[in-house]
Amino acid sequence: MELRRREFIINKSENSPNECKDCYAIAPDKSRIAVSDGAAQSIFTGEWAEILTFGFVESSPGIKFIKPGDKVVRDQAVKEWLFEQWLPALQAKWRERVAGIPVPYFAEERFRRGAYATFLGLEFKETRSGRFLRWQATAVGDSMLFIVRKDVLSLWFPFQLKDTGDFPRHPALLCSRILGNDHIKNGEGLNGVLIAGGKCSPGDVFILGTDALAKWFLTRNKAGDRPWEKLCAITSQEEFAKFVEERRAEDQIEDDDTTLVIVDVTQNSPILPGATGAGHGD
Amino acid sequence: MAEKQGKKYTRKFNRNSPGCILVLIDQSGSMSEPIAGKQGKTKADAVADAVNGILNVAITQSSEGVMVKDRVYMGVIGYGTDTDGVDYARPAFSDPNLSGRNLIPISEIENNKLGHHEMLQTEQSDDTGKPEEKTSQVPYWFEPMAYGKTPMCQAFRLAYDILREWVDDPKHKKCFPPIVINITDGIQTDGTSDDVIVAAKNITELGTSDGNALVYNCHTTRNEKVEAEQFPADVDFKKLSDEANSDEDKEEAIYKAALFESSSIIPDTLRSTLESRLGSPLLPNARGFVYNASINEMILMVEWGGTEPIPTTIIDK
Repeated sequence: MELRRREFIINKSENSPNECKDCYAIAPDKSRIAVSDGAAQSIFTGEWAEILTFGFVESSPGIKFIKPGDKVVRDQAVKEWLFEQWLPALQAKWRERVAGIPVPYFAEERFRRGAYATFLGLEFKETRSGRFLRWQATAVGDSMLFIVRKDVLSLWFPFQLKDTGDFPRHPALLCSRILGNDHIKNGEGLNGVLIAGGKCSPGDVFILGTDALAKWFLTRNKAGDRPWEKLCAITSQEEFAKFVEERRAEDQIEDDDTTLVIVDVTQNSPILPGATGAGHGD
Repeated sequence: MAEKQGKKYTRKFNRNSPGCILVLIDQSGSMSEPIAGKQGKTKADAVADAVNGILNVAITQSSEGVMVKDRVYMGVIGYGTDTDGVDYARPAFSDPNLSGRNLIPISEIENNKLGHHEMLQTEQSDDTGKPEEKTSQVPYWFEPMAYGKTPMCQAFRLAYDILREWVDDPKHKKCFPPIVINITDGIQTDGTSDDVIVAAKNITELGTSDGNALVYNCHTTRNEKVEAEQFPADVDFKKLSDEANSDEDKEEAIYKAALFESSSIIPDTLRSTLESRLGSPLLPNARGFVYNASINEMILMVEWGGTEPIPTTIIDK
């Protein structure tokens, strides 16, 4: 099986593209993809979203794949790895990156609390035989994964998010400060780390989106539309921008930074090397 | 979202559809009286603290990273009596770049502070959790001021004129409607209680496609017996009168009731934000009225450009 991907990003209308707090990163072989939505009201958030996504695709995350059929695990080892190893290294990167940047008085408190961002990481891995491809997703917050199989929405993740698109006002977020993550580490369900996984089939479409797009997707799906058709028809950044702007004007998509990554699983040879993809709003 | 169409008070404050907040501050002589529960503080001190506090909250909410964005236009109208005995209601900023102006983009307000107060704070360190002492700079624009009478009706009428111009501007047609926050000890001298109520109600007739203007009142008092109160759904006028020790206290009870009456009912779409900030549910028909209490919630209940990412439980860590 081969993976093909397309990715688009657009900033909220009050900002310029370089102020976008969404970020995605894709490993050269497409085996790891991450999306993150930085909370606008924390500081150095775009930097944090970038560090999180690149951190996921650049270093092998080593999250043990869950058994096929298991929809979710609350694996202590996963949490330990995430919070004891993976995250502290990225937090150190963030500190290094922002060190020495002057912080005005009105942002001091936010700087002390650190940057906050959602996280959605998707991994693909071949089975030992090399005949099958498995997927596993790790999520904190309300960035979402949709899997379309045989033209039917077969799964959305985190599946605790309501199909009405009515998301929690305060999504779970990963913090760039060590102390800011205790509640996520100990949190359950949408307040913690969620993991899901399964087997890929040729023809599967994986759609990753940040909350504005995810809410639109869920509400349109609930209304009986097939929102993936519209997304899969998008072939360029210009088309994506037009698609989002039109829906913003109709109050169908919230005016927020918006990211879309689509991965198609095709009936071909196993994962092939491809170009590195990454985006940060420009 | 499609189902949100028709709902009011849903627009976020952002650069494309900025909010508008007009603060009215009572600068009358009675404001030099001590305030209940705060030793050594006068009502005028409390007003200066309140308006500086609102401006600081607006700056923080309008900032993204290290920049302040013009998500809100703000004005401050002072009302009182000049030394020659003439009542006034007029723009109150004293900085030369801000004085005489009705509504000012928040970034300009941030750029033109009168000064900073230094505050020593003990904070938990970023990553280790150890307490550290740190001096914070807290800017201010207003210093306490108190002289003369309380021409509150005049202030509400001026607010009406300023806000009518704002809502008539086609650029603001779809914006969140204007918010008026009146900070006073409540005893107007230029009309009856009914005149105050009418002047405030007239403002709430103005509006945008997102709803009618909101009038919130913050009442400061020197009455020690009266407990601080936020967002009541009714004012028990009889109880207040019965508990009043003097004619003056009785009079204050009347004005409290009038200010309550002239305060807008908190719109449903803002309730949940306010409830989560307060950590307790509001009564049905709770109004934008506080009595000797913090008024920052009045602007924090609005959705600003980026939603606050951090739940209170974590802020308090």
